[in-house]
Amino acid sequence: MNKHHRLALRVSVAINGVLSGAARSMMGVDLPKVAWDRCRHLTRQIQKTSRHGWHRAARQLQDQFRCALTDLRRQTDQVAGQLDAPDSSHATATPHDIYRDLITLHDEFDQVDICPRKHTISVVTGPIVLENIALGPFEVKLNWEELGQYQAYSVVALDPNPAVSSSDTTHPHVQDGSLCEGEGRVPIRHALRQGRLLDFFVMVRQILQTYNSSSAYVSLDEWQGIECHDCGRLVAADDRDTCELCEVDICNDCSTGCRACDRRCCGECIDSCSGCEEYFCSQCLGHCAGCQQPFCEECLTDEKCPACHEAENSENDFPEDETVPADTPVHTVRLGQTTVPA
Amino acid sequence: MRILLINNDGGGFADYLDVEEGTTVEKLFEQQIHSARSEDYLIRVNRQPVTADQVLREGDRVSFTPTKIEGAVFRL
Repeated sequence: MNKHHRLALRVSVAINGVLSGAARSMMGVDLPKVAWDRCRHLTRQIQKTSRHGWHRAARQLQDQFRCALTDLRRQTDQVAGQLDAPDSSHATATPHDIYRDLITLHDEFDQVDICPRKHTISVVTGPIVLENIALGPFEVKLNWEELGQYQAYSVVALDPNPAVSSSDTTHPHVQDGSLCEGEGRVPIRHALRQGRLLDFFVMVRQILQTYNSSSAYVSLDEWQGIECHDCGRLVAADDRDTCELCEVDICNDCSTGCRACDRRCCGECIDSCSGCEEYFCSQCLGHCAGCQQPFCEECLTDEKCPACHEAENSENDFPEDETVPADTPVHTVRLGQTTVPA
Repeated sequence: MRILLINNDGGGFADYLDVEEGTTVEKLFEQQIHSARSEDYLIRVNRQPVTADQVLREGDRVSFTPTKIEGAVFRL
């Protein structure tokens, strides 16, 4: 028996002792409290944004609320599944089981570290690549003294490539060193409760190797930023806007508000009025029936701009025998000037 | 004969199970994991990868772990 085996044996006995103590204090069923709290938190946020008239923020929160509800429903189903599962309380790992797990970890992971002083076991995954985005290897560190607690482990990126919009998000399902286990939550709880350390570490690795686009802190589509439709720059999700007419992504710098309806629009959906030169969206901007130039509602009278009206009035002022040659320009747009024959 | 079956799918559980002599890993998988493909699981017997036709023995520890486990979001 070499020193690694001796260490594994010593730690196995210690972990078995922790498990025996934890088993006495644990409840049989894990209620999805965190998922429920998140739903409550989001409903309060939605009410607040609606009260303030922040409709865009309210819409984004509703999307998050929908995901949170899906998560809550799945976790509730898993709790129901726990009740149907056979009683496995007798399956708590013996020191020998734990020892075999610790030894086998070396077959599954290139790097395994056991630190008796800090009561931790850590493994390092291979480099994680999801949808061609390299996220680097992750260290999964379990503190066996905290086996009975909710989050007894951390997941830390060793060569982090965080999302542009959130430096704390190193993986679509990892934030602040905490993994959101999703559908792995219940089996991971069971594995930890029963001292199946090998299963625990393998399941965490499999979660890290899987991407759930419907429930990610930051989706991989937006990981490296979002391309602005107008200027082509890559911007963080927080700095982006969406054109409320054509719904393309634009950066805050390229987003312009309509003076009349306050819609935020991209460059293609907004234009300046040829009269007052304020910006209006394509739905609020009309065209002069005479010169066809864009004008806002306030700058048009009877569907014509001031210059066209002036030109029309000048024509009416001419005596009947004084006609204007057909090729003479009747007005200059914007300047309100009209060329009148001497 | 008796084996320990660990199913890390869905609810996830570990329990002892009586199986017929001569039961292979593949047969046990079909019995326990309905409507799923074995390629989508890490299958271990006594913590080691095995072939589908391996015959189980008394006291074996068999685990089925999905290769893809979807994480999610929770943040307050």
